[in-house]
Amino acid sequence: MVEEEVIWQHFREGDRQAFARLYERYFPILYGYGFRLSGDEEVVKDAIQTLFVELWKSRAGLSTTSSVKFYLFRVLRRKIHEQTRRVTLALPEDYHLEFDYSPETDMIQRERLSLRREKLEQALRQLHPRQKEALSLLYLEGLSYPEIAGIMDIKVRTVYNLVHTALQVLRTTMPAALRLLALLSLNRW
Amino acid sequence: MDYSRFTAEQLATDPFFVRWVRKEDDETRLFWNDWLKRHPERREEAELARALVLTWRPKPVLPPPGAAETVWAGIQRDTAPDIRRFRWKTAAGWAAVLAGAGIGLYFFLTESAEIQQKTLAGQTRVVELPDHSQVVLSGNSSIAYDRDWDGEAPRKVRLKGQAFFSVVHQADHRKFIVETDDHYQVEVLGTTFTVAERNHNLQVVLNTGKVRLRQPGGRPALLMKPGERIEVRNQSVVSRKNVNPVTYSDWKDRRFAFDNASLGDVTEMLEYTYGYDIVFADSTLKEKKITVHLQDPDPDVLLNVLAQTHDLKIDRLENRIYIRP
Repeated sequence: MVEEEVIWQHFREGDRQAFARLYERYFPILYGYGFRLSGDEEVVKDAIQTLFVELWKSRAGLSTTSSVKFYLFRVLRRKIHEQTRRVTLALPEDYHLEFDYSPETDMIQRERLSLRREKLEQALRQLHPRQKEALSLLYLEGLSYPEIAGIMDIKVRTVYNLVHTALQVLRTTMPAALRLLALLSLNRW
Repeated sequence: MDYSRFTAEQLATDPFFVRWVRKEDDETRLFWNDWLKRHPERREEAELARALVLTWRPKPVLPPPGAAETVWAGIQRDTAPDIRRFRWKTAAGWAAVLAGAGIGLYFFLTESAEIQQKTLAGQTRVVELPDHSQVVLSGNSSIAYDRDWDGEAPRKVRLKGQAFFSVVHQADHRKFIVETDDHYQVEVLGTTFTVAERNHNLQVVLNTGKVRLRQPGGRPALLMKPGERIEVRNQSVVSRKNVNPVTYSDWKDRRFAFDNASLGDVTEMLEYTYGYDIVFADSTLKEKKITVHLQDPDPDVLLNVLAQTHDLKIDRLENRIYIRP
């Protein structure tokens, strides 16, 4: 993300356009993350506003950062924590798994797959909120283990364990469904 | 790293493996394809690991409409340079600042004297100027002007993007000037008009009153009559004609109305207002005409109408739009 480093650099020098671009780029993903943490629209909006106002005011003292996303996620999580005194994911998450059926998959197979998918969704719901948070930061946001540890305020080793145990749960609860998913993804490999 | 004894869970926890599944960049793709060839017995485990990573697809949480704009307005308010704050400082504070940093004070006051207003793509904002003239700022646009319009100097606004102006006439006939980055000036007394500039293209449409378009480089000023539209590309006037001016200021009322307009005009409006980058596969497509009135200014609906009317295909990747037969 070289371009992002340039924007960050301009922002630190007081460029309001760069500041606006940072905001445009990050508002949706910060909102998504914050809403999962707090479950409250107003809390998230307040936290994002405070985050960006403080960011602007303290821009001169900020360091060059190779991961803007990491920095923003970490500060946002703290802001939300300050306001709600909650750090775990508040939402009863409504997972729905998205995967493409290959055109060859026939009706009967599709039905069987959707049954299995429901079971898998149940298994996902059973995960601890911290496990879900770690999985999301790792798989969806593409952050590194040290970054996730910094955001969640835990040790790197703990992040690794959260992810690993979550995957073990998923694998043992629904081995058959996962294999089917694996076969499906194989078609697109 | 020796991955040959890794379980699916261990692979799905490994950053290098996850990178491959997420992004499939060259480095990881070459490595893992090669690894799979050399370890056919681990293939099933690797497939399972891949599925574990891909399974993690919670429903995205989307911000409610308008949330980004509301929060941004709050941020703008709380970070705007404010001269009043300065006034509240104690005498001791004043003395310290004055003694300590004359230059700092100069910059502080200069910065505070200018106001900047900006919109995000797709956003429209009404701004009241110091003389109570009104500006409707289109999406992806900004204006800058001095906080204080006392004195005799012309009222001046610098514009990037597109805006509709409703200028209040002053008793002392003081001029009102809209300036673009290319040093074009639209000079008026009291009137309503639209100015749009992007990438060295400028369009001025006059609704009522009288305006004068001053060109840089000693070229003659052009006096415009109501209903006239002047278009400038790369410093030269490419068209001057009579139009229905309302069509060009419709975006400010948040609706779309085009009467026998060319697709080129429609897409240009979309580019100005929504920050899109629109490309035609064949430039003759731009000449096709369309009449469309939409109460709800949804750019997706408008694009759909274009596609349906002229049997076109529209591919869209974020802000890039590609129109082909």
